[in-house]
Order: sequence, then structure tokens, then C-alpha cells
Amino acid sequence: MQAILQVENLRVYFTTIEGDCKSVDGVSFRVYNKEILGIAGESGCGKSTLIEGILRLVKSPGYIKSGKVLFAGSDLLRLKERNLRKIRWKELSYIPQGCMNALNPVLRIEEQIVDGIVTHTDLSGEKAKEMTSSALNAVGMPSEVAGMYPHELSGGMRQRVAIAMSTCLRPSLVLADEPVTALDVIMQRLNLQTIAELKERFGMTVVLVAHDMACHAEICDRICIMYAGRLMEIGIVDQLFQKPLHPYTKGLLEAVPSLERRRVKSIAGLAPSPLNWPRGCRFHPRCPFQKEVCGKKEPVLREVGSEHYVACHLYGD
Amino acid sequence: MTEKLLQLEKVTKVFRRAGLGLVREKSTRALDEISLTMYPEPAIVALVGESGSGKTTVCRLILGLKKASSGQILYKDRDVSQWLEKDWKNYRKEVQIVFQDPYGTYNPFYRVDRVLWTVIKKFHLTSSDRESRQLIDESLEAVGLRPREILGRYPHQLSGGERQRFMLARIYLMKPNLLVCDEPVSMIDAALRAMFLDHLRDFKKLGISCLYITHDLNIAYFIADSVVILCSGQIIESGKTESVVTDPLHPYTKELISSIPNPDPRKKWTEKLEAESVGLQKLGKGAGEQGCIFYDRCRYAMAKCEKKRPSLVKTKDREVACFLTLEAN
Repeated sequence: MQAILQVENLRVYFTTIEGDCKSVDGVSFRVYNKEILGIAGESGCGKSTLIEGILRLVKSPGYIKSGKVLFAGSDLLRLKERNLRKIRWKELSYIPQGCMNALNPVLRIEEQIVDGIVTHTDLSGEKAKEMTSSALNAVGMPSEVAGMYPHELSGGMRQRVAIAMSTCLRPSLVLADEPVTALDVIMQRLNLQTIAELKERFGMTVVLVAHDMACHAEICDRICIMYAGRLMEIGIVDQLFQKPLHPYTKGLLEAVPSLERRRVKSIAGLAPSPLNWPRGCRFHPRCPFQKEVCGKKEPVLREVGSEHYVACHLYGD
Repeated sequence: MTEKLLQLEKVTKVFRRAGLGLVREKSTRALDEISLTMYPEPAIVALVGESGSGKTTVCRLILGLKKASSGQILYKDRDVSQWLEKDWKNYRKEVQIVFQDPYGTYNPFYRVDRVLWTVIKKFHLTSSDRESRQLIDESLEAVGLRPREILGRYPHQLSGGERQRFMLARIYLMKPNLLVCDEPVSMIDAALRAMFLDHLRDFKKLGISCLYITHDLNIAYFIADSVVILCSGQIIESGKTESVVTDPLHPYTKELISSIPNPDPRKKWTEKLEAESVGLQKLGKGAGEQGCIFYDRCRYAMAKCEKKRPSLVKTKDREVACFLTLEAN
């Protein structure tokens, strides 16, 4: 399968008085063409920072320490700002976290979408307006919404406007950062289905960040499990849910409540601090299967099956 | 004990915005004749509804932070609107709340200990400082926090999960009769949620009832003994959790339950939800008009649903407000 985006050893750090806060610390993965790749993990594990790193949106005091992000034949991290601007939005777009609050409250929806279109293409304002209304229709909203202000829409609808906005130029890759958190289940379902449908219709590739494993199970093809700034396991959704290998993935899956299973187990202990990750495997202080080697050597992500990678000393060797 | 712990009798809450100059007068019916009863036997009742359904308004009314427009709220068979200051003080001791946002509920200038000390002093829970300290340690341990690590810290030094559990320590300290939780785990991690919910169960064993407000039916199913489904300010279905979740009767409840993402990739959503059906939230407007509040979105809607609103009717194991179930019986 062809990779559309390749992230190699990406490190995004934040400068603090107490030293570097290593939020994303050596992450490598590939996104295949026309798939939905999920990224899961508890809060503070670096999911959002990873997305910001890929898009080069990290703000000071954060900085990209090292790594490569290969997209459309070039390394985004080394591209000139001017050239990056040509790719952003048109080829590579972004649905920000809490996107219901990402809209400008004093501009009508139409003005905001048109603004994006005109900035990133050579289209005229008229043409951009037409595109706006078709983009809104594509996410199942009537064209009248274009004339409304953000406060006139509910949170879920604002989120759908953000989806329309980020997909109106038919980008080949969309990075969605928690696009459905803080919505009720019906809106959540509607928006996830909208994303999946747009992906099919326009042949997009989607990277979906969400902390809810159930959302991933619904629409993702593959999933990456992130913990403490690193990827612990990557696999095809069905495989990973049925046969999780990494103890952390197992823990995460057991902690998801569902209507079929009333008993959930939480993972003992607390997430470590990014200022000082544990030595060796970052999960070892909380791991029920830890061995001696776990505290000494950090395991690397290795292939254990087809499209199944895991970073754990229990496997391999 | 035959008395009821807390009873809401046809409570309605209308928010009015006065018209002034360019601003038009507007009124929103947030709650429409809600009746809800909690009995003295400890139980966890979940109040479930989507955003804007009036969940938080119920919470505010119960806490006495807002006054009902009409209807009665009775605590131990006494009407709260007739109360004097001293009754309220006693009420605050017996009815406690855990709010949604663990970041906004602490005063960042004070150490977290102050939360517990204030409670102890205000309600004279102990007779000496030594006893207080013991009580604080005991309550922190009861919610799985290590007193040495937590005490003396400032709120920003604690994680969201720790902050919420610290609030639970306050509840343990006071042992109220009723605990109202307004989406307490929506801002903490999945892994920590389970822990938080387990504590609520432990509290039930200690005799603390809980009204758990959430939009997440998964959580409701996980902890609640009974559920009340709220839609646009009206109760549309209520009953034992098991029966409501496994066999929902109201079309809205059905939609809610089928929309819950299933953490099993082999069981995905089969049908597509139509954007138009959830469309431009007409739901909010529905309340206060004549017909059924779910009429616009209901796939089983009949002619009479538009004209008349079904009232909450008792069936064998629950209460439902839908003409369909009425006819079936």
C-alpha cells in the first residue's frame, strides 16, 4: 500500500523552566492512501501535539526538535513557509480540537469559508461562495447556514461547519483532532459518519485523533496507540481490538464501558510526567507484566504480524 | 421510612430575556413539567439527555441555585420554596454536588486542603484539629488518594482526575444523603473514569444516593439503578436501567442507544443517520408548542403526534411518553 504521509522519528518538545517537556518523543508511522487512521491514547500523551507537529503549527515555547514529515514528495518540516502555505488547506487540512470554538463569532459562516478558499486558491469571490454552499450541502447542512453567525448554530453544527471548511478544497489528507469530543452521542455519530462519507466521496485520507476507543472501532481502518509521547502499538482495527498485544492497549480496551460489558477495569497508577518519562519502557511502572528488562531498555516498535507493530519486551526476542 | 428523599412535582423552568431596545423579548422553556422522585434507599439515578435538554437546569433547581417557574421541589416532604436560611444550611449539608469542570471549581490561590477544612469548620464535623486531620486522611484514602502527596498542593499541581477525586473526598467527609453529579467524568480520561464511578458505587453502600447527570448512556448503564431520559426539557422515558437500555420504547431513546459507538469493530453502525433528521435543531422550539417534542425527528410520527403531546404514562416496568406505546398496550 502506498503511504501518503510518512512521519519519521518526530520529536516535539516544549521549553519549560524545569527542562524540556518531551510531549512527542520519537514517533514514526505511515498513513496509507485513502484510509482512516485513528490515534488513541489518554489525555496528555501527546496526540494533539503530534498533529500540530505534523502541520508545523507548534507554538512557542514548543518547538520541533527533530524528525521528518514526508508528504507529497517533500519534508514538511524543512519546507519554506511560502511553499507550505501552498499545500496547507488545499492538500493537507486540519479540523482543530474544540472546533466548535474555532469559528470567528463576528463573521458569518460564509465569510469565514470564503476567506479560506480565496486565500488558498486563485478563485474569485463569486466562485468561492458557490463552493461554500456546496461544501455545506456536502456535510448535510442547508445553504441558509452560510448566512448565519456561529452563535446561531448548536455545537454539533458548528463542528460540522468546521468539517465543511476543512474539506471544501478537497484536500487529499485531513488531520482531525478530537472532532467529536464534547458532543452528545447522536451528534457524535452524525459527525463521524459525515467524515467517513466525505472520505469515500472525495477519496480523502483521514487521520482521526480521539480518546474514545469506541469511535475508532466505528470508522477507522487502522489505529495507533500512543502513550507518553511514543507509539506503543499500531494495527488494523479488527486485529487490534480482538487481539491487543501491548499491555497498555489491553488496559485501554478494558477501560471502555459498553452496553455489552458492564464491568470495566481501570489502568492502575497515573500517567507519567512528560518532563521526566520513566526509564526503559515508559509504561513499565503501571504494567502488570513487567520484567526486569523493562526498566532498563526502551523497547522499539517492531513488526509482529502483517501490519501489526508493537513496542513491548514481551514480544519478539 | 415512607417519606421521599427528594421529589420534583411538575417543575417548569422558563428563562426570560427582557426586551430592551433592539433586543427582542424571548423566553425559553428549559424544563416542562418534570416530575422526579428519589427515595431514601440509596440508589443511583441517571438523568440522561443531549446537550440543551435541560439536564443542568434540573441540577441547579435541585441545588436551589435557581427557582422553579412553577411546580414544587420537596425535600423530605417539605417544600423548599418555603424554607428559611437555617433550613438551607442543613440542606446544603445533606445535598452535595460534584461539578463538571475540575479546573474551574477550585480557587487557584489556595491550597486544596482548604476545600476540606472549610467544610469541616462550616458544618462543625469534628471537635478537634487532630480529629479533623484524621478525618481528612481517612476520606482521601477512601477515594484512592495518598494524603501525603495531595495535601499542601495547589490545584494546578493536581491532574483533572485527582481534582475530581478530591471533590469526592469532600463528599465522603460530609456523607450527604444525596449527591448530585453534573457530568463529573466528561473531562477526565477513560482510564480514570472507571475509578471515579467505582467510588460512587462505594458511596451508595455508605448510604449516599446519587443523581447522576450525563449525556453518556454508557456511563448511565454502567452505574445507574434507574435512568430518566430527558429530551427538550421533558422526561420521555424512565425506568430501571436494564429494561430501558436493553428494550427502549421511545423512538428517541432508541436513537440514543443505537448511536452509542460500540468498542467492537465487528459491530458498526449499520444505518446512516440523516443529517436532515437531526437538522437545524428544531427540537428546542418543539417544547412549548402543541405536538410531541420529538415529532420532527421521529420516524414513526403519526398525524396526532403533531397535534397533541403524549403525556408520561406508566406501563408495566417504566414510564413512557409516546403514543406508540400507548396504542400497543
